[in-house]
Amino acid sequence: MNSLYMPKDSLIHSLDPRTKMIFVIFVVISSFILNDPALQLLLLVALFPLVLLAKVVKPYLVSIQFLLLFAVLIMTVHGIYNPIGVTPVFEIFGGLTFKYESMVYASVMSFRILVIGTAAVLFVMTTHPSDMASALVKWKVPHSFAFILLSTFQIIPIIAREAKIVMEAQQARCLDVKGSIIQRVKNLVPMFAPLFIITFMKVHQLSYVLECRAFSRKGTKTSLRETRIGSLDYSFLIGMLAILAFEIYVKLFAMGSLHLTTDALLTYSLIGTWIVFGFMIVKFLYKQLQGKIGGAN
Amino acid sequence: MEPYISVKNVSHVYPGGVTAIKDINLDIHEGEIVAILGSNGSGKTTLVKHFNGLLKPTTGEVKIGDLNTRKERISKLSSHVGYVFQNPNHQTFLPSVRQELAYGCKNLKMSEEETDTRVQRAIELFQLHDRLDDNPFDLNSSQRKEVAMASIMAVSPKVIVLDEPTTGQDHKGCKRVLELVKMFKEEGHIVVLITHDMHLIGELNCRTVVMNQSEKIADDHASVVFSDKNIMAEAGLQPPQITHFANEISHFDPNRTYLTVESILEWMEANQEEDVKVGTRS
Amino acid sequence: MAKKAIEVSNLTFTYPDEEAPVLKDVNFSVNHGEILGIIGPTGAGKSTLAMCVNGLVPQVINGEMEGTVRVNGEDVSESNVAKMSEQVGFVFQEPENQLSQMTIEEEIAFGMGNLGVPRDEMLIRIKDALEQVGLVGFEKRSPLALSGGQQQRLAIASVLAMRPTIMIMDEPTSMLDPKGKNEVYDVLKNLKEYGMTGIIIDHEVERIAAYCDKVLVLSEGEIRMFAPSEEVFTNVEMLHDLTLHAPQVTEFLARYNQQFGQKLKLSTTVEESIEVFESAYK
Repeated sequence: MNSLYMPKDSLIHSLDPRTKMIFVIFVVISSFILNDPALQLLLLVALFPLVLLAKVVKPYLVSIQFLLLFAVLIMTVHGIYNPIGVTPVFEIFGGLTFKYESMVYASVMSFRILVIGTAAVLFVMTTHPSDMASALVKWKVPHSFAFILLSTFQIIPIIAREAKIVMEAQQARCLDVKGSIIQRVKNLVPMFAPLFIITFMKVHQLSYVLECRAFSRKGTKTSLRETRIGSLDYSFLIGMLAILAFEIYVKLFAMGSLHLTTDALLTYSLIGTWIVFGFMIVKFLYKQLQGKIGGAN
Repeated sequence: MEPYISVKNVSHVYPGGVTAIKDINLDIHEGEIVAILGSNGSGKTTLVKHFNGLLKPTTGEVKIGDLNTRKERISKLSSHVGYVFQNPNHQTFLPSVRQELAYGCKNLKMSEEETDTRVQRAIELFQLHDRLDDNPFDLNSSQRKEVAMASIMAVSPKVIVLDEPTTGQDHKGCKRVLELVKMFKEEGHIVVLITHDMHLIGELNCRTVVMNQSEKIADDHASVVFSDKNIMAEAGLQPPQITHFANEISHFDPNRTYLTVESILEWMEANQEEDVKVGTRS
Repeated sequence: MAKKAIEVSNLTFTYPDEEAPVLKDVNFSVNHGEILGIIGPTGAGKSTLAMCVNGLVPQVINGEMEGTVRVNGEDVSESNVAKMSEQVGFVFQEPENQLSQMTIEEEIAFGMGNLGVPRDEMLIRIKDALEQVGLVGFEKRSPLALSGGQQQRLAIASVLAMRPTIMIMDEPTSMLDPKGKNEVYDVLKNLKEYGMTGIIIDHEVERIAAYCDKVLVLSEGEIRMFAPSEEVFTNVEMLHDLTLHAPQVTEFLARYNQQFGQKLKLSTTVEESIEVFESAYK
């Protein structure tokens, strides 16, 4: 696996990377304009059809569950302990009270993480890293910067593999990797020193290769991958602009009269994240158990 | 005699479901040199990683002496089976040869005296007296490989595994590896070689295990394995040039497989009378 | 008069912080269409010499250089590495360290892109290059998913697509398994047919003897021999003095002559040696 990119044939995939970058920026701005849990939730729900359209539902759910972890933590801890809360909503285990203001604050924060996370994941999963790089070059980002971005994608799996070899190589030198915390901290040196040296050597060699491939040549460069802004991109961009205008309108004129964020909504979304989180734990334990049983055979 | 390394019906399936080795049986005894051959991805490294517990069998059992690898720590197994990795940069990182040599013993929490004795033995074996204060990174690649070997040897493991010891080495370096392997054997170690170097195996004329597509397809003396055309073709191997040459010479003993230049000359020397007669006729 | 493909005169090179030069007054030339093999012990300066030809030394890898290197008549010191890449392609030892792109076609396109080759032309050249190295059908795959031999062929294809007239390969097969080595040498065999000039550095003398027109022997920075490969490899004594060796068959014939007082012709290939030896016994 080279990156999170999922090669699929979809409308979202065929958008120009630049359009998708603008889309991510648009979502970030929106999530700050819509400073209200209910509207944030609405935005999150509205993004889902795009995930569906991009045909990346399953990998999306897998990667978003890590963000959900944050959401659960934030919503629970802030909901109870954030000092801005005054109005109690409900109580658990007698004494731990969730307060309205804190819940609003925590929900906005966690939904924002999920919303921005969704947009980012959608972008990364539907954009070939090379296209990302060549789009950046079209925006006059220097070639070497785009190359560094691209080669980072390439070198991460290599470093991960080398790290595994180094770990094995050090274990073969009688290093006990399953020791106490202090032992483990000490082990960082025999792990990272060789890894650092090897990575350095690889990058160093690559720099010679790049010279031999005329990377430092002045003048125009060409690319195999074509990125072109088409009618689809324009309609997408116009759509985003329209939604943005609407959001600003809502924010400026309609916010006062809307009362979407109720106690019930807050409570249900909190409990909802708990339930999903619970599922994740059960699934994790089940897999662990399965591994144990499988390993004993 | 009880084997020192005993691999019984071992299969290994990697997470993700790839079977790397399938139902392998292999016994290695005291005093043996065993070469493991096969193309990359044939499972030879997976097999050998079971010897020091880096991998545990998915099914089957691996025993080192009377230790079952499934139940022992890698660090303990590694004090019995020393594994020298192909690239010394994965293993060595300390600023002096002396520290490299003592590193394994320190990991095993040996006493200072014990460490000294073992390090001293490694210094003697590899003749490292003059290089003790050198930084391994200032040495050339074959010297660095040798330091990595010495630092594994300093723990005094019964078995020493060498992964591609001659790769990238010049003729002199290859000859040095050959000497070292012979020396390890004389010192009472079992030597396991993972290698593509047919010349090296020819010179050692040792037991040869051939791996192909996760299975062991041959396990015999190098001369037997190298003369089996089917096995060699299946594993994509070519015998040393001299073996190829000798096979085509009608004059030589057709029942023998010659693995080295010396072995042919010795045979000719032994049959000299007849040879000279034939020779003069020409 | 036709210009030489490569012409090196009075080349001396010293790395910074080192007293002794790594190359000492090196003089040689390579004709168009010739394949030159460079052999020599580790540290003889083989790689440094190769990198002088495209200007990597001293322009990227600094040091003090005297003398001149001309490629197709052009003084390398007056050009730069990027510009030289249109004439001289360079393949390194480690296959993986030469990869930087996400797919095979992009990897091949990368060098061309830097040269500003138009996209339509790129597509044609990618197809050609893939055919030349036998990787047709792999366009969309990740370079990291290839075997070592395939990765090295990809590196060769990436260089070929830049359409140089000279190809330099620094130990291109030393990290590969036998199958990978054969794959790469099969590709190299065709270079001549494309009318290319080549320089190969390798420790495997059997291969060098079979593939190269001329051989240059480098030891401690000096040229010790520079002649047609037949001539170099039949000078067995000289090779031994330099800790090198000839192909096994040549070694055998030389030792046979010595031991049995014969005067058989020394040959460097298996086929010819068989003929020579068999006919002596008829």
